[in-house]
Amino acid sequence: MNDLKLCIRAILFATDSPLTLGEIISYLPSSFRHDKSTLLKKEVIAVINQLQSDSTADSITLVKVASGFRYQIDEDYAKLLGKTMNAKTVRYSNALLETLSIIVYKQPVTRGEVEEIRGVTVSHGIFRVLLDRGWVKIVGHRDSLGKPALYCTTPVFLDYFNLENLSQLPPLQAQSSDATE
Amino acid sequence: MEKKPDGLYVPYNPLKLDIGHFNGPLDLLLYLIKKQNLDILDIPMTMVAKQYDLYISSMDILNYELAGDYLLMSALLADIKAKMLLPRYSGGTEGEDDPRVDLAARLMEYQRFKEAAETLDAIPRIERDIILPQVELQSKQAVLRHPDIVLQDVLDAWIRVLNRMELKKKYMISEDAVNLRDCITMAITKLKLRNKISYTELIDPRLGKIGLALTFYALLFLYQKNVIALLQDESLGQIDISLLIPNWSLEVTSQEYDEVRQ
Repeated sequence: MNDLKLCIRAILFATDSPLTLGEIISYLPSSFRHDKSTLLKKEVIAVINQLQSDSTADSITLVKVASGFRYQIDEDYAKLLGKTMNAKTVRYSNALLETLSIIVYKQPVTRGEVEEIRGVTVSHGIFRVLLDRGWVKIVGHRDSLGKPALYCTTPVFLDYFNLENLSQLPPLQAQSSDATE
Repeated sequence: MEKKPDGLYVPYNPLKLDIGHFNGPLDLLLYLIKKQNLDILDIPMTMVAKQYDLYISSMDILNYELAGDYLLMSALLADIKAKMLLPRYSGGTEGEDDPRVDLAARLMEYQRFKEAAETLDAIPRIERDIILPQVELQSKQAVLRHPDIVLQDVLDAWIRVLNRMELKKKYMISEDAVNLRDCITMAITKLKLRNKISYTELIDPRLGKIGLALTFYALLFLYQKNVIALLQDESLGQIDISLLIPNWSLEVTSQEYDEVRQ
């Protein structure tokens, strides 16, 4: 059991992208896999839970994001490191963040609809960046004039923003005083 | 400088204000409304339109695509302002045919997403707030380990291959290198040159088994047609062949030849 724990820890540290439960099991040495797979799955889940609770007191924590489990250095320590290691902070323009948030809450959405809400032409560059980063993808085309592309967010977006699913995002503020005076 | 409209918030240096400060005309409008604590549902159009125009005229807009968006809003504000001057139906509820309703709705919708963008920006994210630790593996290269094999396994494998090949054997019918017609023509040609020839001289070992058989068959055919005579001086002795019809050629009897072939 203890062995399995160390093994999973090593696997999670060795990979650079989040791992799903199935991926973790597939990376385990075959000596662990002689058991019934359902039994092993339960064991792995238990071990991950244990690792997660272990890491709460650590500067490196085990979290679950959209694409699976990963170890990460959380905000407080990352900030500390950012200061001493001169890490460059990536800032995104308000235009990009607004566009992204419209896609997040209104998906699937067309570029025209984003522009409608923002009241301004959304530059091609913003969508290019969002697509290049893999945060959004084109999931289809609306069956209307010009067949505009429909954009949705991806698991990569959730991973990047430390989220497991979209419901973890704060709900969009209700359209206040729309009917009331 | 011209007289500024009442209540206009004047930034430190209005001329320095560039378009980058606002995320579009809606953002600028919201800014004007918020700064003066105006009610979004009851915008004093004359004042706001004036302020808006002053702002965009002070902006150094070089991006024409964006400038268009700002000018469009300016036109919309003027339009609403004009509509406000027209008498409205007193019958319906007040908000019903207020020309500002659409604009207010758009402003509120935009405000929701502006706030959502701020919330999104506050979420800790990779690169800015989160570092992903990566442990270097001692050796990521896979070690190639060759399996142990005993000779018997190799032989067994070879036998399996042979067995499989047996199953996959293809039977091909290839055209014969020689045919009966060639053998007859050849025999006649040789006989025409020499008139009398021994059987061993007639056969050509290069034609192989089938060639030999066909040559023999050709002789039988010619003998049956009385084209040639077979002579043997003694028992088990040499067989000589002589041509009886010097001008015979295969074409004369091709019809019979075809019958024989069948």
